[in-house]
Amino acid sequence: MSFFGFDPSVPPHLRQQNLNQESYDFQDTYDGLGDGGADDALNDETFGATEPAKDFAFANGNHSQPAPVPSQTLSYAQAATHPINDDEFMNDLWGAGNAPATQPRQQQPPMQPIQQRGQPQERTVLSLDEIEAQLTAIDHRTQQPHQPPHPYMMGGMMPPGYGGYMMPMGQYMPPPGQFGYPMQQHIPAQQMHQQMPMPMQGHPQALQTQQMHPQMPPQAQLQQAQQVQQVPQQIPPQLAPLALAPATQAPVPQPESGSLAGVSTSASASASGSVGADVSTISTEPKDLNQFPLLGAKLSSKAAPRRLSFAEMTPEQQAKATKRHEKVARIMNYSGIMNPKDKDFVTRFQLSQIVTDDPYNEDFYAQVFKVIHPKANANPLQQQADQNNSIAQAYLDQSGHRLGGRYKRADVALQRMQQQIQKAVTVAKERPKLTQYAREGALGKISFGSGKKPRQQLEILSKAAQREKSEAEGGVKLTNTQLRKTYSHKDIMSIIETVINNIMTIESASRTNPDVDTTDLWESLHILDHPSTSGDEESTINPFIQALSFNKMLKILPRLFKFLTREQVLTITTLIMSNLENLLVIKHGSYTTYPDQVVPSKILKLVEHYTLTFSKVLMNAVQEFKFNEIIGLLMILIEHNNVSFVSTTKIGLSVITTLLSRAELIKGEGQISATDLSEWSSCYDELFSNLESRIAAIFPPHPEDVDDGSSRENYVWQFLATLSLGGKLSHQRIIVDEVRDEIFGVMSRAKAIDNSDLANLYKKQNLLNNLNMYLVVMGLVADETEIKELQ
Amino acid sequence: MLFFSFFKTLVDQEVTVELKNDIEIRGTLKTVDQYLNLKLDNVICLNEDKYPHMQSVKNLFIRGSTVRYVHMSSNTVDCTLLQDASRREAMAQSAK
Repeated sequence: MSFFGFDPSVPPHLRQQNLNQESYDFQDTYDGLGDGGADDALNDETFGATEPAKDFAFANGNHSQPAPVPSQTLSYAQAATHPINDDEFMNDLWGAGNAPATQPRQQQPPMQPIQQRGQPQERTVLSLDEIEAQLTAIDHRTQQPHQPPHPYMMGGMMPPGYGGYMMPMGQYMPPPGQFGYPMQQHIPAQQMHQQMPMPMQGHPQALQTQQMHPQMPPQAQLQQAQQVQQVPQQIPPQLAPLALAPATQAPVPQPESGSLAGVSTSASASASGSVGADVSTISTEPKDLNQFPLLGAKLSSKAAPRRLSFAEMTPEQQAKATKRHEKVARIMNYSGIMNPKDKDFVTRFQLSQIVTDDPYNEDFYAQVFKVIHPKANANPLQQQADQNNSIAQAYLDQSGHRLGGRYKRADVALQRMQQQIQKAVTVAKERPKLTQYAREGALGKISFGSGKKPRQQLEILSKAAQREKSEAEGGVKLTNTQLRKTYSHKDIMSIIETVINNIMTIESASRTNPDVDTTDLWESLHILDHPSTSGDEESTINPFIQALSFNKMLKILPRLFKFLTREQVLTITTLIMSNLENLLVIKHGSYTTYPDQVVPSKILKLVEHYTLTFSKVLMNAVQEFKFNEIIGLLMILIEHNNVSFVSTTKIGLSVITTLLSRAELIKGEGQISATDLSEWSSCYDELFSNLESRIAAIFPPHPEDVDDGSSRENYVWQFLATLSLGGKLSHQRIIVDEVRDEIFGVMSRAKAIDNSDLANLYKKQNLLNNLNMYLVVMGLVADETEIKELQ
Repeated sequence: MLFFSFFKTLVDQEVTVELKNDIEIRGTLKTVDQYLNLKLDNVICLNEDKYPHMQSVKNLFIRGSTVRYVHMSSNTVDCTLLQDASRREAMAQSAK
């Protein structure tokens, strides 16, 4: 036998467990929601201890949710305009800790768990009489709304399961139109009840069959509970006794009240649940206007001054207010649908998609950008703006790291956010991929991209591309066996890419461990692959030298040299010295090779890049070299290159200058052996004899191209100064003889700049300064008219 | 993640968003997510005469898939870093 779906074959305590098990599942998802079960006692206080009436008209109970109860104390307009402190808002949004957020709910335990727990207990003590009595009540309350079709559908006939019991329904059922207004229909309802008991009493057996019928019970009770909950709201208290009266006519003695108590408890509990929820919704509504955190506090800060009460307003204002009400009501239609826990859940879920525990690789640009370009927010206004956006910032900034550290003064909301992130990171780590998909599905359409790859990317690497790749590798192997390897443009580009990739790998590795293995990087440079010297066929030149013709290789030189050992740097420099003329900037960088004696702009641009990258790197590298190494480098340079040609190019000249000046510096320190010194002087003589009689040629035909006076440096005079410094008096005399015309040329150019031309006066000074840099070496100094001895 | 990472650095900068329906909107980028949905503040529509209904819009949320271009000032972009980041992304992709 089954009462209301209660299965007597299972012992009550087991049943209890099962139900509890279910509610635990529920709690797992919504931890804390059902905690308040113990506080049911407060319901009486909240909703009045009077027993709910039994015989109201329940037509209105068709809605499982009570109609939203407008707040009586605070109009929407008032609510909307009520100024809300940002902090309050944030607290409300994220909940200042969990406790305040759940507190209101503790008094309003949710419907389901209560019913699930409460009812089985009550049911076990029902006697037949009690059940009968309950049914008496139920049939008023439940049947009609629960099974609306019956009265109309069947009239006199009845479905087999319901026996004779249903029969009277069709007779006393008022039309639904009337039934929909319980208040007005109070009297008919009463009449109805008075008619009711007669057939009821007449069919006890029918009742029994009804009880046994398994379809009816759980829903019916639930429904009943929900309808009961409506009653106290809709019927004013003074009506309640009236309504109660017919029920007492039912032929049920005392025990009924006991059994009903069970029902009413659950009813009022559930009523309190939903009504309470409504109340809480209303109270939070104004704040929830600003729910979306990123919209932030701005809205609320705009709040207007407090308004007049509705009655005080002019009709115009009233119309306005009404309009506003409507608008606000529309906006708030769905506000409060999510409680703070829900929001946390969604936030955590969203965050779990974008967090990463390897920010430097997966979020490289943003992370490094922040380090390189720290935000200068000196002015407080900007700071204020930043604060408003702080949640968003935190959301974006902290893709999984720096938890807490950055925002020491973080307010509660931010701390919460950070907790969320922490949780999200652990969640993202722990969860296998599959459940992530499942969760994604739970929030909407199932997406097959992950948060990091929102959409399937194009798979560009087709089979053809792979074949090409392997062929290219095979091709390199083939050429390896040949005596001379040739490199196409593509080969060089791929070498550069490999080098850059290696550098980046090493850079990210060196962030955690300063000792990095750089063998791969070194090998990818192809320095020692095969030697080549100046004048070789372009495609057979060592790939590293070829790579130096490309901007992107030049750009990474400084980063590259950081990871190379001194020996490796020396090897590279040696290679460069023996291949100087193979460098594009030297090969095509001399005005002598062009009929109009003008270097094309493309080369000039490359030269510019060289001075910014290559020359600086070389200068740094040379600092580390020893004296004999410098000599060796110079010898290689002289041996493998046409020095007088190299000297007509800017880069060539600056390379020589770099080596010479470093040698002079070491010499100046005065700790050089006699053999080294003699080697040096022979090296210098060699170099000088290569340059002699062509020194004037290092000046380009258009001196303005080299030095129009606007820059403080002039590589030609620098070179001559360094060369003179290293030479003996005889050397200096030869140099001066050869460049005499240039010296006077500069002087006359300086003179040509009028002293009253203030805008260009600095050029005059620069020209003379550059010239004097050279002259000073020989103890001379020049102004625009004459050369004097330095005093 | 590259573009997400990139746009993150543009938060609080002024950008011009060109939508696939030809509306051009300039505003301060407030936030972005991994779908490159954007939230703009202090919005003005650059072709308002064509789309007068945009006049009243002060801030908006743009679904990432409707964006055609995002224009930004060149000094808000670190090109070298971006090159590196793209390489890194490509490396990560090819490693998979």
